[in-house]
Amino acid sequence: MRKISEKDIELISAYIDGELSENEIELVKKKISELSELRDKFEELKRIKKLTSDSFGTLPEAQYFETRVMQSIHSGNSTKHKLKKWTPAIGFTILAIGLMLVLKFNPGVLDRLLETQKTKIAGFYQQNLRPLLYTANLTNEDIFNFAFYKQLPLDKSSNQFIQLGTDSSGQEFFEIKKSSDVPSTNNLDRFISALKLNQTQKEQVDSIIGAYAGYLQSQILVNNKNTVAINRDLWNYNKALVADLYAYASKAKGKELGRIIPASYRVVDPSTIERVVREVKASNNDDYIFFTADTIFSEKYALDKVKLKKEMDELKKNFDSLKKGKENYNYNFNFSSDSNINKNKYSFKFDSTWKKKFSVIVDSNICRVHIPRIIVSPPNMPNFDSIFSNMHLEKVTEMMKDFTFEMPKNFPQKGGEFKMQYKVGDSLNTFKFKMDAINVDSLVKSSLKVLDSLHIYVPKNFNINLDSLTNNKFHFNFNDSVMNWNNKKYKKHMKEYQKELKKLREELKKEEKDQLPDTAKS
Amino acid sequence: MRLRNKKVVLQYANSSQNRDDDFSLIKRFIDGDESTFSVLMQKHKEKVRNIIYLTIGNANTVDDLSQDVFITVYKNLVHFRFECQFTTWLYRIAVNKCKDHLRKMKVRNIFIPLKESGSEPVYSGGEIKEEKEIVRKAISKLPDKLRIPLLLKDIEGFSYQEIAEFVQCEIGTVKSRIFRARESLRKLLKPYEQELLT
Repeated sequence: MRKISEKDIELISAYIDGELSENEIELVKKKISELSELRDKFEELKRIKKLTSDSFGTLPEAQYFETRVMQSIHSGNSTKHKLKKWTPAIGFTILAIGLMLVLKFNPGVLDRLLETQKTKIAGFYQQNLRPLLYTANLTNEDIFNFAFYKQLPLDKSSNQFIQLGTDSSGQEFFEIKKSSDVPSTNNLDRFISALKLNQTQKEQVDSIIGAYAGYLQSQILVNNKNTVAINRDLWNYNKALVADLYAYASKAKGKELGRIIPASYRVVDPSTIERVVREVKASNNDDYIFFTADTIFSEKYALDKVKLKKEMDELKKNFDSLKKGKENYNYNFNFSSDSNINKNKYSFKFDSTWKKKFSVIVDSNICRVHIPRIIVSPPNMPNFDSIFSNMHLEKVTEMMKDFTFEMPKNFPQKGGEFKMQYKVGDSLNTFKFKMDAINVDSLVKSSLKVLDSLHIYVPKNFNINLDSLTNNKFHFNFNDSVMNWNNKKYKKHMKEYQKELKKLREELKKEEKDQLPDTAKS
Repeated sequence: MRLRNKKVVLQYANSSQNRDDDFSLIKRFIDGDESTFSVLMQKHKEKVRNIIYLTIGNANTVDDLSQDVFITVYKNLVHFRFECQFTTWLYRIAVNKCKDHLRKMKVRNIFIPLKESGSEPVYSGGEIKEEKEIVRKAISKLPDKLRIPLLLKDIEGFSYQEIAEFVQCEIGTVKSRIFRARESLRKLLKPYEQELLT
């Protein structure tokens, strides 16, 4: 029996549609009569055709069809309609041409627009700017600490500071940060007592510091909009203040100063100091870097010094009212955000006198601005940071001058005692040191305990404070998401590691057992 | 009016007298008698609407597309060359409009959730019969190039020649597509054989 082809079915389909020639109709009819499969197919296709033609119903009549079409035609023909159709294109073209013309004949217009916008923002943050010393009521101790610890408190209650420093490449920067590294107190008193200054000399030191307090007033400005504006000369004033204090100390108490400063440091040329102080004081720079909660920008700002002086004088006259009316600004900068957890660098441009770019680094709790250059070359001065941080050792050195101790010839190996003698003034003191037998095992154990409990201490170069992140790293007390991620990862690794160790121990035990003679096993 | 009975109208339109009527109306229109366009529209609008409805499968857009077809005809009627029947030209425009619309809808459907794109009203003369619904659903699953010739043939009763002119392809292609459409439909309806027999 012949199998029906696709061509046959196509012919039958066309036959049902009445689309065949007479010859073809004859041929199809013959095939259908001969083959029962084709007959079945013919019936099937006829049924499908009927199903298709019966499946769709009537369409509701269109109301006012002609009227609506004619209306559309006539409204489409009107000039208004045509114009309306082309309005967006015409609008964009005119706008583009206009913009091109404006930019051609006035190329600086966009810059000016941006500048205006910038000025507006700057204007907002420049409102009610007042000197930090006026609002935070800094003491002479704070300014002394600024000189030698390069740190000024912004908000003592929340430990926010302005910190000056130099990075590893020697570039100066200043940063606003939260810090737990607060300088020890009474540094000024210790300085005065170390130099054995009398009352008059003490007052002179106070007056130097007081004078700089006046200069610093215009260097750091703050307002109630959470803005801190720092003059780029702040670093220079720090250097001048240190130089001034050093110059006075060496002049008034050269001998005492010589004792607290090692001989190798005494290379200061007084004329250099004078030049630095003179140049810094003569500088009248009005370039400020504004730190705000939203942005950091540089802008010129002219502080009305006359008005400021007047205000300060009035406040000095009425100190009680100052205490009552003291404005309590809260400078709580939170620099962390999802996008800038790590170092983000922004670039700013100063005016023509300071064209070099400076970079700003925002970290989780600091905001650091690197300064491209310092105008006044620093005098060749000793490293005060290391000297003053060890200043209290001066007394100890004095006392230890006559310190001796004796070690007995036959020092007992299992416990015993030896004597130490030291002089304080004219009296001779003796100290007996008892020693028990050394138990090596307990010593090792206790040492390990101590090591476990010990937080690793990272010695800080005074000028480069690595901020709290360094400590956090060792305590695993992370605040930001990146570190949290690391912490989780660390925990996961540790768990895996512990599992591996356990497995290893079990294997070792098993091996040990296998190696033992059979008798021992039993 | 039932669609299948439109075959009578088609036969009428195919007659030379009808063709001469259309031509004389068009000539008058070209000469400036705009009222003749309304006559033309009245005469052919139902056919155009039905073609669009069958092609698109969505009654909501039928009138908008039909209006669009007649606006195009109005704008281009002065360029009509009297080389073919007016209806051939008119239906070709209608089919092309439908193709454009379907193309746009396909692009749009990429961005529209499935639920929104499936709700289309179907007119079935008041009474919805399950059998018809099954067939309609099966037809809607056919690709455009198979579905359009099949419906133009089985519902509108156009000849292969006419369909070939509307969809701008060879007669052999139309013949093959209609056959393939029926074969596909047969396969699609196979699971419902029981319902369709009863």
